[in-house]
Amino acid sequence: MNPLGTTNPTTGKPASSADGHGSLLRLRGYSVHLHSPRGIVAAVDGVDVDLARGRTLAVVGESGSGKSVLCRSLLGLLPAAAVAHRGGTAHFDGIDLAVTGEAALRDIRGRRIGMVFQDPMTALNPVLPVWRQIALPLRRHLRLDRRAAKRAAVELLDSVGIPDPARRADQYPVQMSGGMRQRVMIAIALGCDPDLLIADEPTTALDVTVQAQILGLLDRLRAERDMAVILISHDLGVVADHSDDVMVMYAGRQAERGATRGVLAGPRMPYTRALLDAAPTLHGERGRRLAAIGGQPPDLTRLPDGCAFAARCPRVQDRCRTQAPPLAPVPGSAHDGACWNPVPVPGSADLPEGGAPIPQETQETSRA
Amino acid sequence: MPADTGLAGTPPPDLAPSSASASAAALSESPRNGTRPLPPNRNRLGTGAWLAVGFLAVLCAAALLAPVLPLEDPTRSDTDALAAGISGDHWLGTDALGRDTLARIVHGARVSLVVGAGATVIGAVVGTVLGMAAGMGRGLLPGVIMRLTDVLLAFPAMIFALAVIGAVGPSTTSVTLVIGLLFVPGFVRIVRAPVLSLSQREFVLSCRAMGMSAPRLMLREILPNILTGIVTYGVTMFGVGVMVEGGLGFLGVSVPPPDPTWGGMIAEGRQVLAEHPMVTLTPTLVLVLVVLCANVVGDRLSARLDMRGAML
Amino acid sequence: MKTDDKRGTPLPGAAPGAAPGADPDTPLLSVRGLRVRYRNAGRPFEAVAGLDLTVHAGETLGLVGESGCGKSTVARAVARIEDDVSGAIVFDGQDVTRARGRALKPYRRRVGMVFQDPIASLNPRRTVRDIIATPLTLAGKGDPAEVRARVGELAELVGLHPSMLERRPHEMSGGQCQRVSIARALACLPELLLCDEVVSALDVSIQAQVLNLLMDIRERQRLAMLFISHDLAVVRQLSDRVAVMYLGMLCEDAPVDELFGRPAHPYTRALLASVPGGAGPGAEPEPGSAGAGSGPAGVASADVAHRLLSGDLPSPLDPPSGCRFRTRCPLAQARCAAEVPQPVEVRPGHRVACHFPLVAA
Repeated sequence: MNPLGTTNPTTGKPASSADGHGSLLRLRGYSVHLHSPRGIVAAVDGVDVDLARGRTLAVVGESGSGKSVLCRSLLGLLPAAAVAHRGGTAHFDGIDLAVTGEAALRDIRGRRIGMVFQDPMTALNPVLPVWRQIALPLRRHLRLDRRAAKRAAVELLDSVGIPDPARRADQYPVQMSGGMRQRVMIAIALGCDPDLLIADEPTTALDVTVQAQILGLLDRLRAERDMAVILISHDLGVVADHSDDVMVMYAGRQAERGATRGVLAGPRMPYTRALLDAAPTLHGERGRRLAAIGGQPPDLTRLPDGCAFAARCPRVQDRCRTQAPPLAPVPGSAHDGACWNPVPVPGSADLPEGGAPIPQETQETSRA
Repeated sequence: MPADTGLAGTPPPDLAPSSASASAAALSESPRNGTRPLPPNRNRLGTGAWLAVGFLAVLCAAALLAPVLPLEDPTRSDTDALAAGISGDHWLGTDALGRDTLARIVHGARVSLVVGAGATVIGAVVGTVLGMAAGMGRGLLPGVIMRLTDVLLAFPAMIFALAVIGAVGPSTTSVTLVIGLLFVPGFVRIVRAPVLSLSQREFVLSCRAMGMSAPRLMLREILPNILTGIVTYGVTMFGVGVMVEGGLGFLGVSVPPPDPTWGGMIAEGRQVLAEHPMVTLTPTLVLVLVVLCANVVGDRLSARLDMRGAML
Repeated sequence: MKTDDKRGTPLPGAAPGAAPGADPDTPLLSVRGLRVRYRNAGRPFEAVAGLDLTVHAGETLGLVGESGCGKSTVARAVARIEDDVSGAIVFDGQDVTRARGRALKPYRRRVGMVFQDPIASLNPRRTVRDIIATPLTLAGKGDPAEVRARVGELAELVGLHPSMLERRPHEMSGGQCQRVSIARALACLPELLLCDEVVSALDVSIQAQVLNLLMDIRERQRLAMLFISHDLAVVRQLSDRVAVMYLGMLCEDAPVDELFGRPAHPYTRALLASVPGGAGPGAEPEPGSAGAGSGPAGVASADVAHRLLSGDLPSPLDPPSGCRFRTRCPLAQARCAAEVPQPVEVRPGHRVACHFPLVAA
């Protein structure tokens, strides 16, 4: 299906990473600092990611955690003037994004990485029929002619579950419901058969019954096309149901990372624990006070020396205020956490699971 | 037609696209909880605008103090110096009848500035009241107001002014009233648009839910939010008012001679334009400068207030 | 009166009947046959099409539904900021549906409202102190010292530091702004608080703070609440009773544990099944297996109703005939298109508007 995957000479080179999966996306110490009116903001600070084909990585965090900036930076959507500093390395399918030329970068971003935004209404052009918007990348990157592009657009609409796709293709975004528009967005992102799909809060603007449909659709497409998916969400329920791995971010840094089940069942970083406790659930105890996290997220222009969560953390120690904890395997768990004083393992210890991310040591050696 | 271009008006500042500098802040995710970044400190108008403010201030002061300033009588002819150039006796020269140009400009400013400011205030007050009624009112009222403003806008402004002043006779009051009336539709539109959107904002709904009366709601809650737009537009319209008065004076329907008006001075200078261009050029230059200054100030003010407005 | 609740027949003209506040069974708020009309491009449509609700003193009624179901419109109608309203809104035995001006003032004091958008809810040009004081000055509590003291009390009640009173809304975070909104709504010691999606614009950790605050205040002041949200987990956390709406009509209304434990309306079941991470113990979904498949209409088994809904909400401009949910309902039959289902009590206090409710035998 994907013409690029076979012709790319660098494919397969980095496939020998520790967990046996070829990492499609590999970030090491990735940082993005942005200019803001109040100074430079460390929006993303030293993030490591390994994402293989066919897997979904969920990036979880609250506003200002840097999850959206991370993805926009990967897609080159941040205006050059806003970026103060970019650090670390980013490899996509073995290609170092930092040293790749502008044209090749555009090709990767346009063709091999797809993006789905939160608000399908503002992300679609209101004056073009939807097929033209789906056809645009097909014509530019795959050099399809008008008729072939329209045919492909109708097929794509069909594959994202839009009934009567031939008729719908000629409609305008305003004639569609929110769920339908999000399906169109997904069709656009799938157009060039991307290897990686980045979905930035794809269902936040949608109703719960429609959200279930869209998330199911993303799961099906990922399995069918062997895509990698980055799912950005603030909803831990969505993450629990629709991801393999999870990365919890706080104030631009990684707080905890690992297999979704392991992290959500036995969170070790107090922030993850607190996030889980703060959200009301459908079967928890009712009517009691929620375990809210006190205080406010820190000012990103003046991050503390130590752990960014220290000021709100119930398990804070002296060390937390002076020294930022690195992301490292947490004793007793199969996943990584950035904490000096992790939450004790609940009850019996979790059994280590497969598919855990590469430990820190391997990263160092592989780079050297 | 100066009046036509002026009355079409600049777009309401509140509707203008927000400044690009906010984009960096907008990137770092939606302002859900994080304290929103403060705007950059751009509280300066810039040198050009300050020069414009300075010029307008000097002119206003001069016009205000004209009776006590050591100026010549603007109606007295100096028969020794007809259409004279710049000299120690006449700093800006004299006109074809030998009257001192500086004195005539300063006294003319009394008419021009009063008409410009008066017309703007009339337009702003009436236009704001009607615009808020059109934006917040229910039933037939908004439709009636908007149709009336449409009718007024459809009238050729200069002909309307000529006809009305022709009927009631030229005087500072009548000229001010007519120009003010012509300004009303612009203010109605510039007020109505933000009021329409503000009236659906939740803070307005919550005030209604608390049972706040409509006049209080408009005056205390809505007006402060649209005031900057009105002021900015008003500064620009002041320049337009001065220009329209000049046009009427040129056509001879402003304050009657021998009292000096800028438009009248320009018209009188036409007869000697070939031999003595300065007689026409000097008042023209002053008129152009005033309008330019008003535009510069209005423009900078709108850019600066917009930035603050975008943060609110 | 009780009979009204049970039968739930929309009787727009029905008189309240009871003397104000005499009978403990008299609801604090009773909404009967509420209809609210909007205009879309000149064409009128009903955002709320005949709704009955009751809230007793000190009770929290959760109102859930998807966007466009009219839940916010209900709150706005009760807050008397909708124009085209028919039916009856009866508060403490008095019909306030058509009251105006001075006659409405006592009602305005006894009902407070908090909106969704924390920042848009506050006038950007005012200080927090002014904003919280507004209802007090409107109520004619003129003495500045008294107002000042009361504002201080309110700020403390909602957990705002006194130094914040001199700030303006854009200098504060969303959570702090929402606290200001709550303080303002509580200023005149209301008996009923209307909360329209008050936490949906907030992050999880801040959301928990605000929910805790609401629970504390409710307990302290014996406040009744109409708590509107699209988030079922949040509604479950806070409510004593829950009503589910779909396209302007009531689907189901039951005590919270009953509704979440034994939902009887197919829509309620689908809604609960759609909540991510909410499939419940023993039914843990496998990533990748949750299909977007449509549930074909079939036998009336609970299993079918648990499937995810297909399609989108129909436009409220052009609602389906009969039961408005029938176009997406896996159990729909011919009768559903012909006849509007009326709310029927299937268990004590549990009303369902469905021809084929899923009631366990």
